[in-house]
Amino acid sequence: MDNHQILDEDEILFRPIYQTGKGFYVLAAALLTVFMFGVVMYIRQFIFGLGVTGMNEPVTWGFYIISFVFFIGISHAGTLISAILRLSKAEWRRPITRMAEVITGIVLLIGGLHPIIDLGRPDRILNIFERGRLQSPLLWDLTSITAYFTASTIYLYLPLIPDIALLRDRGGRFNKLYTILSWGYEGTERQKHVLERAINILMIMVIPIAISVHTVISWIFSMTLQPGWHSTIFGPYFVVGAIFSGIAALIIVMIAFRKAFHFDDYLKNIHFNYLGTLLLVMSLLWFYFTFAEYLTTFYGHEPPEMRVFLYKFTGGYSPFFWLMVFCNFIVPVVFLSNKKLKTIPGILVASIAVVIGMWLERLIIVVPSLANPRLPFPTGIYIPSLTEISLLAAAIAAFILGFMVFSKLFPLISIWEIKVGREESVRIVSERLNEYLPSKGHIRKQIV
Amino acid sequence: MPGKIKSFFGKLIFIQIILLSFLWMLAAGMTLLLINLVHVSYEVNDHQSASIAISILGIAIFWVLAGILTYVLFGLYKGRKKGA
Repeated sequence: MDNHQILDEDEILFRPIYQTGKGFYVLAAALLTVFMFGVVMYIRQFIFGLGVTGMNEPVTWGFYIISFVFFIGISHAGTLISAILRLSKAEWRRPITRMAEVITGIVLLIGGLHPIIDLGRPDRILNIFERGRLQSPLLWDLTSITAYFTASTIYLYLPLIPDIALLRDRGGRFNKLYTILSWGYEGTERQKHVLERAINILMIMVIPIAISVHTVISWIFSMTLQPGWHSTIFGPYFVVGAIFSGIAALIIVMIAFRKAFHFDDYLKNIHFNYLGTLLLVMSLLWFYFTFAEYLTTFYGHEPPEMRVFLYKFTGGYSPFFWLMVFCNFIVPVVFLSNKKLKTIPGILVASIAVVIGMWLERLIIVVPSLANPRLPFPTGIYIPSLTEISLLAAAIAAFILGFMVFSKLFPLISIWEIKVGREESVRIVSERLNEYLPSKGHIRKQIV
Repeated sequence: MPGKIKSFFGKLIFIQIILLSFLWMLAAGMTLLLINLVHVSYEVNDHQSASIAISILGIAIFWVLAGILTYVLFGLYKGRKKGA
């Protein structure tokens, strides 16, 4: 690999690591303040117990579990999308995969912490290690999320090694860190072969692991007999929702960093156009699953199920339910199916709507079922307290901060993949096309 | 000077092996956890076969992941330019 050529061509991708503007520090300070406020509120909850939250009988799961499901869902942006694009040899993936993989790593950490935050006595998590029951979906969740986090981190790290080697060769700050993390990578043929082989194995492994994670999360709900949760399609419904919110989050991140670091030449309209189309397809799929789920419930007309159903459609949670439909279906379809509106700002609006809509979807799934249990209790009320709201804000701040820190240490766009793409993509794609298409001689023979 | 370089590379390899060993510790930790939970399921006579099936799957994933990273990191060392 000719490093000097890369530096000349892709210098802009290194710039965020070496140059830091005033705006970066201002934003980081603001986010750190939000995050620290969340930490203070958590310490207060730790001292006084879960009484400081809005959770109560019968609504014992609130913002924390909603955010847990939401953030783990967002994690599908990364590894799954990146792995699928790599596997399908989509050449346009090259500037996207790194950001997608970073999203996964950060949100898995944030999401994975939420069940612990949800515990009034977090020390009791240790009971799982001593006397846990493997028959519980909660334990399956622990195993699959840990496996997904491990696989995603390795999957992020391996394609990062050639770029770390470039940073090491440039010298400067953090050089020792880059020397350790690059593992002596010099771009020899054997090293490239080893790396490529491992990435290929991982991208196949990561897809079933990622799908298992959100399926297992859905089983936490659907394995109970709670009205509104006991559904056979919850597994695929959750996976579709996760990929849907993941793509939306990825688009937002791409647009934000394109603007902040002037990556216009790398993240082009075509990338947003393709991802926008993918988002539209996922929106239609999401609507199909939602329609199928609620139609079955309505047709069955079981009294406990109908209580939850009506609470969502016309009762206390109807504003959230219809706002969810508006955000997840109406906005994406309007903006993404119209050529005039399918611009980068239009795709951004649709993506923000989807992220909000998917958070509302998790709210719609968690709270109404708990508020209307099968037992003859009066309808429960859940109003989140400042503690829960500030911890949600802290989680979002942590996500942005995590990305900002990463951008100061490593390139946000895979430099070596861009280089390989420039050198080899045209040849590889034309060879592939020649394999797909019938030869000219064959056509002539058919005409004769 | 060559002595200094040698000691730097010695330290480097030591740190790198420690980093790699974290992953093996995680794999070993998950294995111990899952074996313990299978043991608990036998103790309370509660769906042992399901516990064994879940454990086999879980343990295999962590060991394969640790194996992949080890393969890459040692492969990168072996694949360096001669004399490097």
